[in-house]
Amino acid sequence: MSTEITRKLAAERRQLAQLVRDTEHELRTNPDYLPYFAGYTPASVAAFIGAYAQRKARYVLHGPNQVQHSERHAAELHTEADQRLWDIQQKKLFDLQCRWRAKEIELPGVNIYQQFGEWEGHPERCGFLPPIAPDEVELYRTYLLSPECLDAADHYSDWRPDNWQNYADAHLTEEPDFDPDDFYRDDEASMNNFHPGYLPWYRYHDRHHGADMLALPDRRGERQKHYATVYLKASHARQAAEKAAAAGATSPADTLPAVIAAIVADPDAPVPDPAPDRDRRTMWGHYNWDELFDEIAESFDPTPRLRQLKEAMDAGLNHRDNDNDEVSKAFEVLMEAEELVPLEAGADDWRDALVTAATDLRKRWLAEALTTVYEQYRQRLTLGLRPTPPSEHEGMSREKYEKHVLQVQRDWVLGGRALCGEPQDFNY
Amino acid sequence: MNTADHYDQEADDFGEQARIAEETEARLAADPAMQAWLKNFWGDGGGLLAHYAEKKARYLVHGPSWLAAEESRATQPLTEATERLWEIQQKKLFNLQCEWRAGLLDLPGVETGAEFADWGRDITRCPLLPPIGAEDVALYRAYLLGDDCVDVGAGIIGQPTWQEYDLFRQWHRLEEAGSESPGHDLGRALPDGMQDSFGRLFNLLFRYPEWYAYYDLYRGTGPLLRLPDERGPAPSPALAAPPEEPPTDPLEPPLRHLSTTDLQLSEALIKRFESRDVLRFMRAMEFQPEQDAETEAMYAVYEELCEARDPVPVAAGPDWRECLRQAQVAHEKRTLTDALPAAYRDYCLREQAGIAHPPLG
Repeated sequence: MSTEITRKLAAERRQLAQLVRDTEHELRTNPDYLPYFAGYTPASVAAFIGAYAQRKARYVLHGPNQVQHSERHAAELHTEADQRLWDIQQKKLFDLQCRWRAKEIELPGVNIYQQFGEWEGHPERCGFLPPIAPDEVELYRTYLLSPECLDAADHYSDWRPDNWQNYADAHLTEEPDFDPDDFYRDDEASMNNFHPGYLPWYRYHDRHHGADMLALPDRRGERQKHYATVYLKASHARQAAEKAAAAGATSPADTLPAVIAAIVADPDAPVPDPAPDRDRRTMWGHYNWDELFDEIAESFDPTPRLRQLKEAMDAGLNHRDNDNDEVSKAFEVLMEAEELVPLEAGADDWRDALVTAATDLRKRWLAEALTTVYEQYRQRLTLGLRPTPPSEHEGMSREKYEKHVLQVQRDWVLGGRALCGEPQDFNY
Repeated sequence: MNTADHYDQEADDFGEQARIAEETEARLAADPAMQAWLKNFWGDGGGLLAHYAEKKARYLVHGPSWLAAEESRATQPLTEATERLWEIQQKKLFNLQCEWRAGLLDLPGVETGAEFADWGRDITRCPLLPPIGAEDVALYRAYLLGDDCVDVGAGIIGQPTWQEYDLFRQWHRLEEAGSESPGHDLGRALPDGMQDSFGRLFNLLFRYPEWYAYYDLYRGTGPLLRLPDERGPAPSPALAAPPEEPPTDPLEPPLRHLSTTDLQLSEALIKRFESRDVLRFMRAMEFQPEQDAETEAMYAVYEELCEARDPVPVAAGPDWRECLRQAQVAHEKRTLTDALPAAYRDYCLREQAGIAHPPLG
């Protein structure tokens, strides 16, 4: 929280205090209110006015958030079911990606694998993806209700997977290491992703169909990476040479062709760093915050009681925000249930039992909602309409993505092919 | 503190927080040793000081209330266990009251039956009783852990009075005669609309305490309740006759009480005098799924369980609400019984040292 925000909060509270006083004054003195208080004892009217002003301040302070929450909550199951319907298409698209990379198939207009990432955001526009069939919905429902589906707790509804077409994520078996010397990072596993590894729905789908998409070789992807790496490393060497020239080094242009030839011969060979003087120290954000805090407090800013207050507040906040956040959502789900919901199994901690019960219930609700949204999907198709997209696409527009991502990638690949003395097309 | 003052206080706190943050950041930024240390980080640690200063200001301003909450949470079981310990003395006092009223003994300084109620309210200073013994605590502990003890759990109101001789006897007599609900039986003479609430309230306030019944069972003191009341006045027949209504003037109805929580009137006022937004906010905040008593009680159970830092086991069952309720009661009972030995140890130390016991909450 920045100081500016803190000051804003202070001003907001000051306004609320004034609002309470103004409201009380208004109710006490404006004769328009009198008819409403007729027949009541003066003491109880005075108490009511105090409570009313307090209530009004509470509405003004918390109302906006509450309204937003209620509106979101009312549509939540339907929205999530709508999104989940697209999980089916994502898996079909991912299978196509694997087979395309393995050179088993050709796909109209597809020449670099980043295009699958583009379709990920707009699966409803993907022309070569057959529509969702009833048996596919049925399979997804079975998966949803199974223990293998792990993202159906209310807690997770905000962060459903967003890496459906990330081929590297799918092949991940352990936490990825950050490799600062990897030149071509476009196909690496996402950092900080909540759903590492092969997605449970994909695994379920493969098992049902007896398929093993992960076993297919990445023929096209590897060639694409090879050409792009050659191109990028050569550019890198060129930049380093230019910098050296500017610094007065002797005719770097003479050695550049040899360096590039070496890169073409072995793209794994190290290249000169074009920015050797860059700041290689570690960002403070990557250090353990508590240790940094204590170090500053002890060495530069000794303050009585600070450590004790920090410990108490951190412990309280941690308990409130971490231990109970997931549970409070589970509790709300169960409180909404009109049917009798059992606890199927006892647990060492009530929190686990509650989350399990709420998740199971929510899965049943979602499975029901899935039937409805699939019906709507079919109606749109019958009417010749495009299905409703899974969610408002965030990030670049299709046009910008085409221009700033896809075209750049294509240029790298073609540039790499040129350096290798090969035809400038994608038939590799 | 009224509402406006409360918001002013919050405004002051946030202002103080901003002031501390700014002062700290400026002071540290001007410290050459600090500047040298910052060189350890990428970009000379830009943003680090501001982050530290904001965190520190937050701890200093809001930390004390978190610390107070932590401390009260830590001492809560001991406080409650100490209060419960005195239920042992309440029962002993009640037994004395029965014997005294029957004329079986005299007590120094006691002249009327009403004095027992006075001592009941000031039980920690009552000089008439022998001290609490370890065997008393063991009995109370067994009672607390068993199913007989029903006044433990979130939102449950504990026994408010302990020396209500006449009413306890009346209730007990009816129960022994097979009454399903002595409170309702006693309220038969009241007008229809009042019978149920009277019956419930009576059962809540004046039923013979479960702890007394348990004690009687294990210590054989049940017959004390059947001893005659030789020293008390004749039992009041007030309950048998309906209360007399004061005469009212039909032309001028008496002023009514306006409840502070009258949401209907609040809504009418907001509709007439406030913006549509305030009405929208009110509807989002007040008219959520009906908060009936059961819902409210469930929230109380949930909040109590959330407070627990250690795992609280729960058993399977057909209704999650009931499972949670039972888990919470069992947890609270365990917490209380775990704190009993310390409460008793403190009691004994005060007894031995001749220090007065602190009065109860």
